[in-house]
Amino acid sequence: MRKYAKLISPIGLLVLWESTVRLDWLDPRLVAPPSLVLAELWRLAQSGDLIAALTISLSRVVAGFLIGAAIGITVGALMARVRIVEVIFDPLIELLRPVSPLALFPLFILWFGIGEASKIFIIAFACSFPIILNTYAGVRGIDQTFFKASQSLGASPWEIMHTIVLRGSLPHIFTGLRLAWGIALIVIVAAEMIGAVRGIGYMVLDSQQTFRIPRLFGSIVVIGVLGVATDGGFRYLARQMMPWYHETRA
Amino acid sequence: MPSYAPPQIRFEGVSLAFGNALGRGQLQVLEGVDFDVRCGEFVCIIGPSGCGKSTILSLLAGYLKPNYGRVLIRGEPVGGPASDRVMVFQSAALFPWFTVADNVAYGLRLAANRDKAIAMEAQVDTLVNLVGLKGFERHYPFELSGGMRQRVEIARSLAVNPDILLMDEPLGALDALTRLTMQAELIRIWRETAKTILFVTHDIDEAIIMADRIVVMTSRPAKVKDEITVDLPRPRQRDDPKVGKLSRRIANQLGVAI
Repeated sequence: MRKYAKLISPIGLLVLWESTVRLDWLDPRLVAPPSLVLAELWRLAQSGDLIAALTISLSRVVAGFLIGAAIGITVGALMARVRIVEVIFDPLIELLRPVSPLALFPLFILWFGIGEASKIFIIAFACSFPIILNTYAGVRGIDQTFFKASQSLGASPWEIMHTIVLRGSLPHIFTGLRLAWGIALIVIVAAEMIGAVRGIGYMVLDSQQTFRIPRLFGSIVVIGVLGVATDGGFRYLARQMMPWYHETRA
Repeated sequence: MPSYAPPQIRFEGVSLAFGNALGRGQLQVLEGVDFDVRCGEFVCIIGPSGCGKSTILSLLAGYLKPNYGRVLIRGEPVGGPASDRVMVFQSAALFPWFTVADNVAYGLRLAANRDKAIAMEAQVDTLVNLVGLKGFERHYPFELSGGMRQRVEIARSLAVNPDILLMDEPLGALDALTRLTMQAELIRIWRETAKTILFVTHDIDEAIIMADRIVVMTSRPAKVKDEITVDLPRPRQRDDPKVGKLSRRIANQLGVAI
């Protein structure tokens, strides 16, 4: 019963939404009812437009995310373990972190062109900060005894890095990855509105400019569903990779 | 042990002070600590809490260096941490992200990385059997009781085949019954493996039941107050009057009335 209880609010909203538009309480030229949105999404799926837009957006996000994750985990772990790296990187990170990635996007377009590179780099830039900060916190939170124990058993600094540092901070790294992925989805939509002619963000903007309201609503729904589905994927991956962590919380 | 055998471990006038962050107010922890441990001996170090017993093990492990004096193993000053002498911690030191088998295999894998031919699975099997945990190889530490975790911790330390086990109150976190079992188990494992064991405790009876020799420390700054050879056959019984007599003697030295 409890399982179905959380469906009450979304279904209620859908019913309210459909009926208010049908009853003309809301202007149907500005608000598309769920039935029309669904029909439009079906059409988009059939024509292949939706898959094409999703493929291009996701490939940008995945490429940027992977670069950001590689940078974020490396820099975060090194900052936490090596004093001089922290001293050098910390001011730089604190300075760049509050800067909106979108403020840098025009610059990235100048540097890397209007093609894929500028979008991938802006995603990588946005992703790296939450991953750096969470990896850093994760590594700092590892019990000192683990380091002593592994040293005592003969581990070299490199072996300590991958058997203690990365393993022990994995729960925090995952938190960073999930936050970064969410930010990446936000940034790619905005970036595609500014400088793209394909992708889900472009589809949102194009729908508005050509006044195709059901498609506008439909692309927003797609972005939401994409976020929920991919985050579920992250949580599944976390359970697979860290059975010890998930179980200890239970 | 023939009496002419050179000591395996020697503390020579070892002093150590910790400075605070501002460099003022030094805390003298050890002051002129002298004692020897022979190969294969089971030595307990006992003393008031906070007296620096664990510091002695940290010096041997190579986590710390003395300010004065020398810490020698087979006549050589101790360098950094190495697997010829392994620290056995309280059970919390098991890597929670590895299974029992992976924890035990940890040191073996490190050795294998250095191109030594190692029969990994056979050794892990033997060790898991030795500490009585057959069937739990695939469990994670959080799935085990405190006593079982301590057994894994001991197996993990034995895996790298150290000459010396440094045990820092390894049974301190266990309940009373498990503790008695583990004391007997540890004696059994010690006899089967013939390791030198340096065992820090603040439990007088535990020291008497287990040790060949007990090193009694003073309160901080610690030095050796007495060395007592426990010349009783094993297994030793707690209600043996000789145990009671020794126990009173040590309690007196520690300034505890019993």
